Amino acid sequence: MITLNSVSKSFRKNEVLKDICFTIDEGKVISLLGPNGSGKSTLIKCILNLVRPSGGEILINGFSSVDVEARNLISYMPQVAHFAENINAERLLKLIGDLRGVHPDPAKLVEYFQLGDHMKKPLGELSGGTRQKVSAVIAFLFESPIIILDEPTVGLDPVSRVKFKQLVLEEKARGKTIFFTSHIMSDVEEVADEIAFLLEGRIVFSGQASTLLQDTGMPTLERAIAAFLNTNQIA
Amino acid sequence: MKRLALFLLFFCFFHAGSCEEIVVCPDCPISTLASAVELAVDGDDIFIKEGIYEVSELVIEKAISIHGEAGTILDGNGLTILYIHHDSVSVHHIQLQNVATNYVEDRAALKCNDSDYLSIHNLVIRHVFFGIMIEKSKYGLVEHCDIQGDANEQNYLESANGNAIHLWYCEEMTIQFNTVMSHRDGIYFEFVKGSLITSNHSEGNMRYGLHFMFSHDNTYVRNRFEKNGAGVAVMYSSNVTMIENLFINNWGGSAYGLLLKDITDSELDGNVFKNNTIAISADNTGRIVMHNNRFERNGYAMRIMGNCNDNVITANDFVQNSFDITTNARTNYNDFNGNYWEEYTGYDLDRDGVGDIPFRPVKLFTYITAQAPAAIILMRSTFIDLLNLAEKVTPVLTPESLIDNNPQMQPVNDNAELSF
Amino acid sequence: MKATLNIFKFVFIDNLKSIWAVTYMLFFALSSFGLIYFTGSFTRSVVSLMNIVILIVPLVSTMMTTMYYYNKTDFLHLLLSQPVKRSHAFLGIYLGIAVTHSLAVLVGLLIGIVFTLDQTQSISVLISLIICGVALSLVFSSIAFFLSVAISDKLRGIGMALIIWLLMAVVYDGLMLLYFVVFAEYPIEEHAIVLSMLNPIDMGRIFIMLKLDVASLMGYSGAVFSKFFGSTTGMLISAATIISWIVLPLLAMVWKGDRRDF
Repeated sequence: MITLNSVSKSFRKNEVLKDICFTIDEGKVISLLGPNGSGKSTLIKCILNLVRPSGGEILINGFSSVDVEARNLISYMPQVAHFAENINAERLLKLIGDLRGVHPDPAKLVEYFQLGDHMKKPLGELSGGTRQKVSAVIAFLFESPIIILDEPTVGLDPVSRVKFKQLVLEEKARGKTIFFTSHIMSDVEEVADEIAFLLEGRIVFSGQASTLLQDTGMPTLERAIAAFLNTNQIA
Repeated sequence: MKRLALFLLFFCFFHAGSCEEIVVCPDCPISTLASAVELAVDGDDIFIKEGIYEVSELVIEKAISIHGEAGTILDGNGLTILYIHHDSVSVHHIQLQNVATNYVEDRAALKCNDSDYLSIHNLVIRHVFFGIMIEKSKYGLVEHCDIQGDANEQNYLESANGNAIHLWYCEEMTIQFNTVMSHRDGIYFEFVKGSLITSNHSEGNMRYGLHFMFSHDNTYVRNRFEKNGAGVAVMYSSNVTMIENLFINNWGGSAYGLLLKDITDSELDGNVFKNNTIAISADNTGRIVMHNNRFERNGYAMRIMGNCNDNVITANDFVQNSFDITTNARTNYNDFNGNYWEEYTGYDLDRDGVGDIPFRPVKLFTYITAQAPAAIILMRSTFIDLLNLAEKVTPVLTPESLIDNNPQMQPVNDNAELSF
Repeated sequence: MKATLNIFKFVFIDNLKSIWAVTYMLFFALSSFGLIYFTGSFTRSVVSLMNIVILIVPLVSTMMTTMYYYNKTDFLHLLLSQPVKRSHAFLGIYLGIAVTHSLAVLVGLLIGIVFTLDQTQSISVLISLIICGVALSLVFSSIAFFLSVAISDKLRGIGMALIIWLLMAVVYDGLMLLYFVVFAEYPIEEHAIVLSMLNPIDMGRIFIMLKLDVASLMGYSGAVFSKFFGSTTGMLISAATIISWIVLPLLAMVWKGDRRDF
């Protein structure tokens, strides 16, 4: 469970997150939505302690996000997976394993994403999509109770995307909390239990997607969000 | 030499019958040099056979010849061995040793005073304060002597070590084929005139390999000066001729190949300066002609002070020196012309062997360090290299007139391998 | 610190396998071999080699460090989102980069030196040259790493690193020269020592110069310099200064890294 208690963050005079209070319950898949520059990345980085909030606090299963322990509970898949040039994925997995102190067998995940030979090639020689898959393996390998994904399906081919979403649902079924950002609404509709909508540094909506559809009276999530944005801007 | 031989022949001729040889040996009737000298008359020849003889402060006041054979050793037991005080004395083929340092009098293996036509040759001199000391004498000869002292960098004290060959107020002397080592000065001249110093080897002396002051009209040819504490110092003299000498490995904080101070109307021709901290340091020198010398791998090839003028530096080779010329003045009254400078990067379009653009041998940095010595810590720094380059393109600080208008494209001399 | 070691190994291997490290190493191998073999004069070739080392090593270390850092922000994010202390992660990355650079210089020069052993007049001068190259690699990787961590904008970071290099490699000596000329009338040899010790590039240069026995060329000042740098105290102080040049930027980097956002 991730709890954000009136978290705010400003870079110099630019207020990116404004007094955010928000809870991500255990065992749920939550999607963070919002237009470009709304503060999604900053919010995720706050949870990961890459960015230190200017105010408020973040608790991860009771640990403060500043605590090194907190990051033992989280696995993270960044938006771009440009980790190294001349080293292969196996070695990268070993490094992360060394840092986390556990070395689970990646064979199943590697097979699932059909990474096979790619695991032994230097990362610099892999395509963007393949690197994304490697990144996914890192995120799901370590059995962390919380998994944070930043635009996870961008750059994946349709087959892999389907597989990826399948995996998210499987992990959810195993009780993982999954928090992800995405611009692809179909993905969100498919896997998210709840959505949180971030606009200009505030959470303006959080709850089930169906609620948003009902409120706006729109047939698809994409349209519902557009409608939602319109009414909010007028307001 | 010839003159001396003639003289001796003439001398013996007039003392026909009295030109005897007196033999000295430990078991002979005459067993000491002192008694032999007492017996001898002018023109006699004393032969000292092999053996060690203690001889102290023996005065020679007769025109006699004293010589020995291999193994003839005169031991001074701390005191001066022979005082020569007469013309036409000859001493040769003897080893002289053990003359102690004394701070009151200058003790020497051989001390000569008012003795013209001296002939001193083939002596071996060891463990002495001064080696051969000649005062107020003319037409003398010192040759093939091997003089080695005990001075080294660890025990060196200027006042505790004397000179190997020391001449004072002498005229028309010939000093040749001697080896002088590990003394204070190798060869020391004061008020010596018209003499020839040739083919000597002066090495490892603590102060100067050759040191002379107030000594005019002397000629130095084919001598080798090596690893002397401060190289060679030439001061307050005129009409000095130095030809084909080798100045090598005189390296140290205050070492020079050749230090010229107050020297005028002299000539330096065909000398080789190799591996010296400063090959030639010229202070207040004038009308010196330096030509056909080779300067190789020296720290500074030439340091020429602002008070030097009318010197002509021509047809010399400057090769692989850290700095070719340094000066402390912004004006120059000397003539640098037609030298070969290895650092010269100009071109020779008309292929006449002379570079088409002039060469400025003084680098800005050497000029600056002459003014601000501490700046030497920046030697070889990138900034200094850039600065030198800039100055080369547009000279601002270095002497405008210190310039070689006819830099040679190839080395001028073939004396690179001068050795003896 | 186990994390540091693991990260070090990873970054080190990543760097080691890069074409840049190999090129860099070959550059030193070729230039040292070429200079010693073809120059003829040993002293001259060492001086040229020294100029290359004190100019190129700081520049390349600086540039390669900043480039690596700014091109691997994803990797940094991945590392920092693991249960690892920031300072440990940074130290690991620094070591990975700095050791690669040092090793490239070390191996490169060694190759050149080994193949020209018959022309070597003084092995200790060459060893000093290697020590100098390694020390400068560590120092400038450290400074560049601090700048990268402190400045989040890639262009500004690389620009700043270049400026620092230019300052230390060139401008500093110009200011020093100005100081010497202005105070030429005073005995400022001690000042010269202190001023040159503040700049690791100058120290490296003097360290090698004194080994080449050019101290005699430097007259009285040179005697003062060689006496100081030759004494045990001088060597200890020099070593301490170099170590501070490595450690201080690292401490600043850890301090800054702990506070900044990524």
